[in-house]
Amino acid sequence: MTLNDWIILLLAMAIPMHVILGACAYLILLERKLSAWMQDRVGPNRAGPMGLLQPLADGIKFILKEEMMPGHINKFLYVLAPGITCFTALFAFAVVPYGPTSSEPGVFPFIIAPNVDLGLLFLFAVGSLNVYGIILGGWASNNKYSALGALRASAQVVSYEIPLGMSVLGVILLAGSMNIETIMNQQIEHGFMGWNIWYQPLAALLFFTAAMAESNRLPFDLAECEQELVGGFHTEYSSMKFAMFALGEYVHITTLGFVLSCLYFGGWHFPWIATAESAYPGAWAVKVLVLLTKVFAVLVLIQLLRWTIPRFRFDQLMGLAWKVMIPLATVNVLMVMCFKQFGWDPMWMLPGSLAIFICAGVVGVQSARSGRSLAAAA
Amino acid sequence: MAVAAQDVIWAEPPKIGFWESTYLPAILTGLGITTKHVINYKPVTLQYPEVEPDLPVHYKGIHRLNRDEKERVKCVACMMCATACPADCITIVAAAAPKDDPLWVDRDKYPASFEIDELKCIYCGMCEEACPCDAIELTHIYDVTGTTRSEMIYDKEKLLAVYDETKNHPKDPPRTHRGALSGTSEFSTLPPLGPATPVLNDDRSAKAPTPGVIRPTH
Amino acid sequence: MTTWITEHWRLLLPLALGWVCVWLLMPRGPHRSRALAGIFGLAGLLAVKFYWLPPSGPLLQDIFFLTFAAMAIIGGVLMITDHNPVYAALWFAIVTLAVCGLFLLNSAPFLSAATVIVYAGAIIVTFLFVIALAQQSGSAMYDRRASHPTLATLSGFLLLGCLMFTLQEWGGQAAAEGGNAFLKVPAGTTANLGSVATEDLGSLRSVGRSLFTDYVYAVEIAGTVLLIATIGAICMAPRRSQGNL
Repeated sequence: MTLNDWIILLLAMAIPMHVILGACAYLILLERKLSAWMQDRVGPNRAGPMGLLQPLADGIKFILKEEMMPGHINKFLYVLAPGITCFTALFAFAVVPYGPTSSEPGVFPFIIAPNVDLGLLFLFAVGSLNVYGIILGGWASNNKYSALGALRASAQVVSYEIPLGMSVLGVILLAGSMNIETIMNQQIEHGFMGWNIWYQPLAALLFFTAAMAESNRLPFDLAECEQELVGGFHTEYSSMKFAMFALGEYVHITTLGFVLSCLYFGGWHFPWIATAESAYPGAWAVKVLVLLTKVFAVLVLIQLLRWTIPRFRFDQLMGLAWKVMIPLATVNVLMVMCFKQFGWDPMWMLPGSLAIFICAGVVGVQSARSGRSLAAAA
Repeated sequence: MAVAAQDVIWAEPPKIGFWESTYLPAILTGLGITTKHVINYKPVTLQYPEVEPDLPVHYKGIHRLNRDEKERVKCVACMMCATACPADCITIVAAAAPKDDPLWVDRDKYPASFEIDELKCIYCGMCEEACPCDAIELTHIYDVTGTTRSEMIYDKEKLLAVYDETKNHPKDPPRTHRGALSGTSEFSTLPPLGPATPVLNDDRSAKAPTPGVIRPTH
Repeated sequence: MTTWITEHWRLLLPLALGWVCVWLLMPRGPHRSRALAGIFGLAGLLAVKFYWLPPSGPLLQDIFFLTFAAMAIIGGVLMITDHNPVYAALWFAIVTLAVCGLFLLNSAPFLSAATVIVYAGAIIVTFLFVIALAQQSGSAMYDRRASHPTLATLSGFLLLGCLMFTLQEWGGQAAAEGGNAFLKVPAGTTANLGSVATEDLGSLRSVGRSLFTDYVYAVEIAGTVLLIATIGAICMAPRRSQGNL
């Protein structure tokens, strides 16, 4: 490796990390502003013009605030937990492309670790370690609310990993690879109609839902619901350690936004302005911007959903994962396998997915009715 | 005691149709509502330090101690308010009025010290109702702060100063639509058709033959 | 006997040192001679290192191998000797992660990631939580004191000794044939490796192909057994409609 390669490597690592950390601070501001607008409020508007310096003020406050350490905790694990959350969330970003990727030497790769054969599997492996932060934080706090929050989080994350993994299996089978770059580039080669959303709409919906549950976002934030658990696993945390939990959560949803865009929405591809052929000067910047716009749209959708759907009850949450999403994901994978095996035209996957969805709805209605008649008979 | 079987009413969950069971239409409708609020953004909140809220007339803030026509403190130190106070925040030390002073010649008692702990107070207005001579009244002032606890214990001078500040304020003392909360002593006889202040049409209490007694309408 | 010992002292020495270390570390009331055990343990590890060091590759790979191996061994020892069951579960997680690192070094990324997802991600978390919730009133008697420390450690190290002895036999043969002592394939499995192209070795594609061609019966039987277990669990679980939930 030449010096040039080393510089490119370092930049490819440093730029996304710093952009993400800065973007997370502003995502929190955006979330506060959006929720204020939805509730007919003004939102933070004191620090700087339109409250634009609020993240800075928050950061200063988090750093300067007193470091509270309750006396009844397990110190080592208590300090370790937010670190694990932050580390795993950032580590998972290593295989996520953030622009037109390339693995040629001397070219800016737009991905931290290019050509990782594992790709998605690595992402899920690191994501599954994320729950250690929550569980250790909850247990080490030695607080019943925290322990309950951690218990809920662990059960939830372990359950939702299954539909999360199963929903991307269809895409993996279609692309014949687990590498996110390969999946993205294959869609881009086929243009707008090559986006996986046209073949796997059901899987995209399942992935989005499972990803929200995996990152403990509303309406799946049973681990930290303020009304019942005072904040759940981070009840006993304050100042920077609390901020690291929040940061981990935001990095997590940002990563999932990138993955959703790359797997189902064609990555940096957009008809006419950013295609495989577009080679006008500055095309790379347009491509990066297109991808970032898609990610931004996903994040805004997540934040809109936060104030749209009330929080699930815990049995509904588990029922959704085990009785709805896992069967649906399995049927979806079966459908893709049939298409691959018998060489059917993939254009029929869109009606196929819709048919599966409608069948699931009918089955849900029928089982709800028969369940009620059973209960009435008993 | 166990509930008898015939007394139990089973509530049936509402029937779920096809679209409800897929969750999606409800979620999309909800998204529409939230998005509409983001787009048609009309905040209903006030920017407090710049814009002061227009509080209703029955808002009960800190107390004042009224003065009579000779600018003396109106209070006769009867201890009714201190007795009525549910939060036990009023402390009065009564003293005999100085008889040799021509100013006090028509009074027997007066409060040598009168203290209200505004931090303990729950602003219920019981003191105002209990007062036989309308000496203590609540005001519309809500924005009082202090840096120490002792600063928030209002003594006689402070309470009189509150009176001087608010005596001409249109919102003081706090009153309901029917009239002042207290003020019984201002009437020599009970008015037959309610008080002189404007009465709303749907005020059942004002229409009653005996003012102040509310009878259920049929 | 004495000749056998003198012949195999390089195998027996680390085993004996390790046994003393674990025996000393076993929880037995308030007093533990950690320092002494640490010295014995380090000596044992060094003895292993000098005799059992794999053929040295690039420096970075050696460093990683030694780090992961040491993490796995030390984590394993601490896992069985720690007083606190929650810490023991965490050491278990460390052992799993270190073993995953070793898999990665041997170009088995799929195995590594799958182990992290299944073991570190799900099983140990559940395990950890059961332990954390079960220990409400301090650690129990059986956590403070090992029940049969001598017998347990002795049998464990006996097993380890047998394992290392057989490995050593293989390694010795392979080394004699001029091959790599640690990549020697046992007889009977060479046919499976033959179906994988050399450039595909360790990739996802080859793992999948191998699983569904060479080991298709094993995979199917394992899947069926798991399916039966799942159906059994659902059958035994209490039903809301039957009124026992």
